[in-house]
Amino acid sequence: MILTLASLALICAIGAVVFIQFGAMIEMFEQIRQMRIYLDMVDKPTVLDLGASQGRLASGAGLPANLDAVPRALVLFLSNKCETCRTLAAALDGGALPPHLWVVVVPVLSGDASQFLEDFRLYGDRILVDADHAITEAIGLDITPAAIAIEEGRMVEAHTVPTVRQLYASLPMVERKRALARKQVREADLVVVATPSDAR
Amino acid sequence: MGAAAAAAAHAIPAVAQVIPAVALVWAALLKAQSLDAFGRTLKALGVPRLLAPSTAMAVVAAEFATGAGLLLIPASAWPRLLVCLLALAFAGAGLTAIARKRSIACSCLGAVGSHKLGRRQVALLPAWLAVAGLAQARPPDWTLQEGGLLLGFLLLSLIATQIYREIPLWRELHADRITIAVSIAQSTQSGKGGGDH
Repeated sequence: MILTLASLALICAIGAVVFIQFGAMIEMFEQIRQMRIYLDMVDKPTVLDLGASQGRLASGAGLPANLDAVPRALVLFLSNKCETCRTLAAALDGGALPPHLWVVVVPVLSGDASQFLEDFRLYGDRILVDADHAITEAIGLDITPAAIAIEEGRMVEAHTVPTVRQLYASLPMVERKRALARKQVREADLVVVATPSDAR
Repeated sequence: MGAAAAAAAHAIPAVAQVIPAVALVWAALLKAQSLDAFGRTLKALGVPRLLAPSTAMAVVAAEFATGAGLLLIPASAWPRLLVCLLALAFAGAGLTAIARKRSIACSCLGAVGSHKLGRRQVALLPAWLAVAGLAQARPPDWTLQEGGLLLGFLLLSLIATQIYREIPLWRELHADRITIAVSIAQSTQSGKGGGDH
């Protein structure tokens, strides 16, 4: 009887301690989340205003004319200097781009982005270089990394791309799954640096 | 029909015994996580500053002991008596807040929720007394071992609720950890690359 009571008391004490420990961990995790929000380190894309470019044909802004014919596509704008852009480029490094993803590299500060293209082995007919900023100026885009969603050849939405996960999340569902399968990584592990979008 | 009535007559007091047990053990554990907040509530109710922390601990211990007692020794009347005393204390706290016309944080469930002391505690008094009375009318007859099993199941269930809250937060932070690791690795790489050129 005494042994039973002692065992029960022990179980109660352990249960209570475990419960409280979990509570303390939740508290800690929530504090870290609050700090992330305060430091603007949240993996959340910001919608950008396309202004007059909203609904415009992709080719009208200097993008390839074959984009006008695709039902859905994503155009990713990377600059050769911002750290998040380099992280995104690293995720695409060497591999074939996911279907319906176009990449526009915008050289800034110095250079012609050739070093950037070489560093991350970004080659192919869906990689463009906006050397004279004609495309970004035509769209009115002054932030990288950013992405523009194309539907039926028209630009429908623009948003920042703070992480690789957000890049894949912006792709149409089937393509996202294929891309993830090709990378052999879990979606949760694709979250990379969540800095505020770097202004060019 | 008779069997159903007998089963109900057996089950209702058992349920009436378990409900306050769950509520009290849960409330005690949540309060134990934020004793400071509960201590502030007691101070606002007029408990001297020096006594507030120990009173907070005593209330938490009383709630837990009552909840555990209800499950472990169902035949005994003292846990049900303690339920009535605690319910009276809660209602008294509610009445004090109403009489003082002060907005006092309840801290009934620790830091969970933002309820204020007042009518709710007074209104719940009859419910507490009713369940205690119902259980007292025909005390459940499970054994100490069965009660221990119930208490263990209750604690595990409460721990499971914490894990359920924790996993999404943990996943988010796990992703962040990878984020930071990748970021550091790439910064280091680009730093080295820059030095080579």
